[in-house]
Amino acid sequence: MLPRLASASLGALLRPGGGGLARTLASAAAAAEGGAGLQFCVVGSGPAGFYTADKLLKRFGEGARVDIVEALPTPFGLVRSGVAPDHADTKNVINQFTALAGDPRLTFLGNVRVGRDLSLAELRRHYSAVVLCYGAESDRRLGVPGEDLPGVFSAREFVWWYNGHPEYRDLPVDLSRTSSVAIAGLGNVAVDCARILLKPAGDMAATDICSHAVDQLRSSAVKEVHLVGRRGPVQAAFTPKELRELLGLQGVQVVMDPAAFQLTPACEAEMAAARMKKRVFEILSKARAQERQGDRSLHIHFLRSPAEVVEAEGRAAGVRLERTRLEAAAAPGSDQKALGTGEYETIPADIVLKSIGFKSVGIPGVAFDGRAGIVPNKLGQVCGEDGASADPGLYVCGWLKRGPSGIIGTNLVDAEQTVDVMVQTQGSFPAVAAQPAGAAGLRRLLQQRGVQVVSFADWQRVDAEEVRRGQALGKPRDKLTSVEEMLQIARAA
Amino acid sequence: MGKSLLEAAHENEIELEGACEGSLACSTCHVIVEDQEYYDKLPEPDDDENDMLDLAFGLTDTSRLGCQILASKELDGLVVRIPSATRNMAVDGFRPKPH
Repeated sequence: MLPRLASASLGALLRPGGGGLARTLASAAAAAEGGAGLQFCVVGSGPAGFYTADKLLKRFGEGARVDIVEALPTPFGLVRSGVAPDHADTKNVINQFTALAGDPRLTFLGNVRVGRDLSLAELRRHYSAVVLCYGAESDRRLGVPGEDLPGVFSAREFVWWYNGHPEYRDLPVDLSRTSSVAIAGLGNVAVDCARILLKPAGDMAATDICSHAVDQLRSSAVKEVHLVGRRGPVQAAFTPKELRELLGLQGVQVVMDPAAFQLTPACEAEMAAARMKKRVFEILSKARAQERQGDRSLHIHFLRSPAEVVEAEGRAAGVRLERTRLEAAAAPGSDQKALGTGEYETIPADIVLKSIGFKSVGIPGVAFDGRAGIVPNKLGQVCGEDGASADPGLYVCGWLKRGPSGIIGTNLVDAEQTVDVMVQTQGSFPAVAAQPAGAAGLRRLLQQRGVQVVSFADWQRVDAEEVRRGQALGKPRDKLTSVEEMLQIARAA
Repeated sequence: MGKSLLEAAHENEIELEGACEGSLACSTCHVIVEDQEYYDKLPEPDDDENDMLDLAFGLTDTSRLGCQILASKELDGLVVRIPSATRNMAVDGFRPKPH
C-alpha cells in the first residue's frame, strides 16, 4: 500500500491570467489581431532558434508559419556541438525541440547556409519577418605573440572537434604527443575542456563523444592541464556545478597558488553581493585543503595573464604568463581590473586552448558591431545598416543579440523578449515579395541552385543511424561527422 | 508518490518550462514561492538545486526549482509565480488522480 500522500496528486488551478489560460487567450487574441497568415523565418536551430520558433507559434496564433533554416544538416546548434558529451541530461531539451518540430506549422530546412546558398536579401523576400539566431562561429583573440602557432586552438574548435562538428572533425589534435595542455580562460567551456582531457577515457567512451576523440583520449599522454585566468578566484566565470565536478575527478591532483586566495576588500564585497561567487570560492578553498593523489594534475593559475605562446620546433611548447594584481574599479559596481606586474613565469604546453569567449560573425545585408561581436538591436529588433533605429522585419535572438554568455535557459527569456517586440512592431513587417512565400518558395530557389535541403524527417533518419551505430559501441549514439554521409542517408528516403 | 510541481504543471497544461526534464541540469522550471511561510515548509534545496538556482533568471530569496517541489499535504495552498513573465499559478490542494 502506498503512503497516505501517495493517493494525492497536485491539482493545479489557474488564477485569472495564469499560464495555460493566458496562452489560450493570447493565441485567440493574436489570431484576432491578424497573426494568421504571417510567415516567419528563424536562421539557426540552436536553443535561441528553437525557443524563438516556439514563442512565435504561441504568440502569433494558428495561422502563423515558422521555418527554421540551418547551415548544417543537423539541428540543435550548441546542444549538439557545444554541450559536453558527459552532460547528457543537459541535452534532454532536444526532446522538447523535437516535439516542437512535429508541429505542422513548423518547417525545418537543414543544409542551407544563409550567405552561401542564398543571400539574406533573397531569404527576406519570402517572409514577413526573419529572426537571426545563428549564434557565434568564431572566437575572441588573445592578441599575443605565438597565438597562431600549430598546437594553438580556440576552445570552441576543440569542443567542436570532440563533439563532431563537420567542419572541425579534422582538427590536427594529437594527444599521444601531448603531455601538457594550457587553457586560457576560467569559464565553463575551459572547465569542460579540462575535464574531457583529465577524465578516464573509458568513462568518456560511454558518452556520445565522437569516436575519433575517444581514440585520441585512449592514447592520450596528457599528464597536466593548466587553467589560466587574469583575475582571481572571486572573478572566475565558472559555475559551482562544473567546478565541483572538475575538482572531484578521480586520480587528479589539484594545484593552486595559495597567494591567490588572499582576498582584497573589493573581492570580499564582490563575494558578499553574489551567492554564486561565494559558493565557488568555498569549493575552491575546500579543494585546496584536500590532499589528493593521482598521476594527472590540474593547475589553476589565478592572477596570471598569457603574454606569449612559446615556440619550440615550429609549434607551441609553453605559455609565458605575466603575474597580475587586481585594481579596484574606479566606478562603484564595475569590475576590478587585472594589471600586469612585470613578473613572468612559463608553463609547459604542447597544446594551448584559448577559451576567452566565442564571437559572432556578420553576414552581408545586416548591421554588425564588429567590436562587440553582435548585431546591433533594441530588445531584439535589428537596427538599420545605415544607423536607422530599425530594419523593418528583421530581428535577432541569442548570442548574436546579446553576446556569447549564459546557459540554454537564458535563450528562453531572450526569445520571449524578441518575440514580444515582434508582436508590438508587427505593423512594420514588410509585405512578402516572393511567390510562393515561405518554405515552398525557398525550396524552389534552392532546388534551382542544386542545394539538397534536409527536412526534419531526413534528420531523423540520420539520427536513427547515429543511434544504431552507437549501440554497437555501447554509446547513446555515434555521431556522423561528414556532411556528405549525412546527405546520403537523408537522400535514401 | 510525491509528484513534482513540474510534472503537475505539465499534466495540467500549465506552461512551466522543463528543458532538462527534471534531471537538475537546467533552471528553466524556476518558480518563486509567493508566501515565505510556505517556502519555509519546503525541505532545504540541496547543492545540486542551488547550483542550478544560481543560474536562474530573476533569482529571489524564495526561489525554487519546480522539479524539486514535491507534493505533500502541508503544501496545500502553495502559490508560486513563474518569474519570466507575469504568469501566476496556484496549487489548491492535491486531488487524487486515478492510477
